Amino acid sequence: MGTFIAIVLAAVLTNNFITAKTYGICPFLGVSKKTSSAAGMGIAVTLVMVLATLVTYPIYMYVMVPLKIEFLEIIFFIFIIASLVQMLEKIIQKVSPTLYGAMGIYLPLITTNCAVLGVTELVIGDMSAIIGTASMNIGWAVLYALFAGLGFTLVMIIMSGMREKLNYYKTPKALAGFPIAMVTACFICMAFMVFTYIV
Amino acid sequence: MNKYKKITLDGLIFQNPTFMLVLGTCPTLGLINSAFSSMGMGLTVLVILTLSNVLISLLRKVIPNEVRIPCYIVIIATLVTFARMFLEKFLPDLYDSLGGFLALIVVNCIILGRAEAFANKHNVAEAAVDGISQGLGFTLALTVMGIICEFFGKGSLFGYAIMDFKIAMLATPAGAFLVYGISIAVFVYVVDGVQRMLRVKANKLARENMLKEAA
Amino acid sequence: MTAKEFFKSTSFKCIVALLSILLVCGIFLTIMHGLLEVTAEEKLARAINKIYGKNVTTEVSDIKNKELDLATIEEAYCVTSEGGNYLVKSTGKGGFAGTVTCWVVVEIKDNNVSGIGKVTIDSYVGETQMAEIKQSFLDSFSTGYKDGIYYTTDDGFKVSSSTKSSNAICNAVNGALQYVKTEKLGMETNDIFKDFAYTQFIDKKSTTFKLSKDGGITYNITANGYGYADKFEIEITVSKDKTISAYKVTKDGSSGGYETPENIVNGEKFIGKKLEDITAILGEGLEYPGDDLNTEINTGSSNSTYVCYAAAAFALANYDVALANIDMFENFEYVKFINKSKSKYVVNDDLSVTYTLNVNSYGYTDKFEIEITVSKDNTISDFKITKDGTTDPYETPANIANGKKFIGMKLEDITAVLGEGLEYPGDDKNTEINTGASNSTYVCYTAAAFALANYDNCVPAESEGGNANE
Repeated sequence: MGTFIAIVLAAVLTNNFITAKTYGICPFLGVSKKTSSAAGMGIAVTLVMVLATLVTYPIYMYVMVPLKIEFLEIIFFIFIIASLVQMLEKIIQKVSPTLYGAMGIYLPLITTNCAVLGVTELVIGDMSAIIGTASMNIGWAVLYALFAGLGFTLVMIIMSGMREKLNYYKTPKALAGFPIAMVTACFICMAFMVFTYIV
Repeated sequence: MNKYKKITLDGLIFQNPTFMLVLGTCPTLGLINSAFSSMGMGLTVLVILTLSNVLISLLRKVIPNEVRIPCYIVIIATLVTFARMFLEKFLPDLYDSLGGFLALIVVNCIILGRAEAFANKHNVAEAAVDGISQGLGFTLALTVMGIICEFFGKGSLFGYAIMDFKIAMLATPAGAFLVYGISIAVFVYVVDGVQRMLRVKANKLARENMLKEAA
Repeated sequence: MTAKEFFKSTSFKCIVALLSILLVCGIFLTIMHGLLEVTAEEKLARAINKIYGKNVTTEVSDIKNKELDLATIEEAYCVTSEGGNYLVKSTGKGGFAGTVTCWVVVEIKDNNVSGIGKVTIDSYVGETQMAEIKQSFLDSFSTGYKDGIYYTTDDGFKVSSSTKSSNAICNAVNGALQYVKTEKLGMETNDIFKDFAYTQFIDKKSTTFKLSKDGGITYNITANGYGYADKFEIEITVSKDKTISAYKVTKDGSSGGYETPENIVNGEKFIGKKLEDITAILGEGLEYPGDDLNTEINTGSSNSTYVCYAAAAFALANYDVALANIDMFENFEYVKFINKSKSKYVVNDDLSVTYTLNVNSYGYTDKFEIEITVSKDNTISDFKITKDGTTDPYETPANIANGKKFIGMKLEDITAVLGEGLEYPGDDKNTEINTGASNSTYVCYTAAAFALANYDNCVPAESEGGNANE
């Protein structure tokens, strides 16, 4: 239970992918103009993160490590992620056209999202600071991926809400676009920094 | 020759990947709290980008259009893996300071972006120049921001302590966002200003010429 | 589609192109991996080179990620070329939302820890204030080493703007010291509060406890400060029924304007309280309930009150552990004849002392269990063997077994027979001991001598005087 809470707190608040690790910034800045699209992107990323971890973690631990080909992890992981995204896109298109309409358009962008590759690389590395004394296993890995994705979605939604509000104000011409978005992100980061003190 | 000058200027200024295209943001924000690691990241990307541009330009006739993206990804992933091995062996300090962002170069949009937008349409020499100039643009941008963040955030430069005064927030992701955002604004503002000035000057010259001819 | 058509189609070309690129890349990387692989020895050599500035020979230890209270010992090496020093890689907990991993050189001299040679940071996770940690701080561990030291941020082992990171480093160094002392040198840890609950509220170094006159425990607690409240020094006595029988604040740590209420300083509030009474207010974890809640703690100096409650909870919760840890027979004479852990004594109301002794075996005798009462005039008033350790065919004489022999005896009567050192006189001498069951008789005599010699230790002179006045 302690490990569970530690992972949830770390993944969502203290080690949030965007505000603490700065992973997945491209969609954070690119797809956060509207709350609906931010939420769609967030959920899509979470889904891919969980699936990717579910596939890469066992492959790394039970295939690559015994074969001593850990050094090929980047190629393996990026290939798995790319194929997963493709497959997911096709499946969603077939099964539920409505869902595809809601988040399908974000899927192709996810292959090159560092949050996905980032989480698969993180969970095979040293996680002792987050999970404490318990040893890492596939369950914790997927749980971490899930909550890291939800943390990502949370910040995406906060950001999009703030940017929607920003539309009502006049921005200096030089700051329009990315600069003002980054200054906004700066404040979100500072707010999330506070969570570092609770753990 | 003019062609290469244009490619170089594009890479450094008009299509600067960091400030103009806003690509490769994750390693930028994650590493600009230290001048050493941001410069290291810049140079690593410079090398990988140049090599990948050259390789993809060489193979552009061989690779079928339908599977070009997977092929590019494999090539880039290979280069990144190689860079990781190389750094771990010969530059362990840099390897440690780059951390997880080294593997994430694979999904750095600059590299795949240049492969897709430039290297597969141009010859090897042009692709190489483009790789170097884009890489340099990235490196310079990162180094400058790294120096700003480290100097004000930690009171040091490239790890050497300089002063006691510091704004610790600038060495955190929050500070990175702030410095990056403001840097983009300043860069765009200056480039726009210079371009407008040049245009005004050119217009004025043209008008004077017209007047002279009329006279 | 025929096979021939397939080989000419675009799909085939795509597959071939992709696979061949994959193959070439895979082969290239495998070769490079063979050339550039950084082996575990090379990694260790790099780390060691950073620490010593030169190559040293080491002996690999067999441990891997050993968990201690405050740190995880990841690796440990015996540095043979540096006089058997230990190099310990230790990850300290309790940082700023993360951990710090340090290499600690523990210097050894004459099979004892003689100092901290060097502390270097290996890596850290989750810490954001590590830039503040300067070399001078790491050096302070070497210069500030004292025998038996326990580094804490309270003692100045800290960097002001990153106290928590320095705390993690302290823990890493403490962990390394503890590891080398207990695992490598086989020394006992001297943390008497190891099994105690709620130790986070007290200063372990200046807190003591002893047996009180009535068989309870008297604690001298230095309670850690909380919020506006500074350290408190409190004397608490917990009686046998696990309620507080005495409570006195000897040093008030409350700050001006927020005075601790009078009934807490003089302890009235706590007399007769049970642990449940306190956990009912603060909960099992003794969390600070906050200033806004209407609890007993909310006295106008809530922080000080909280500290006092936490100290009381500490005293109450640890009654059993403290009792087990107390050496009742400290400074007693002739303790070598008894089994300390299974013996005890109580002071009766008439100031006589009743011992329940588990006496060590001697020769043919097994362990005896004897109850002896020594009256106020230093003579034995009762002597009862509850477990006879004699072996066949040597029966303990009847007048010893029923204790009659000892009633009214003084210490001098026994030393006259056995001498000051209570040596076994031997079977051939014609002494009182020589009863046909000499060993058993000897054992009973030593027990009697123990009981008589230590009367003053059980009933301290001043309490005798105090009681006489009543």
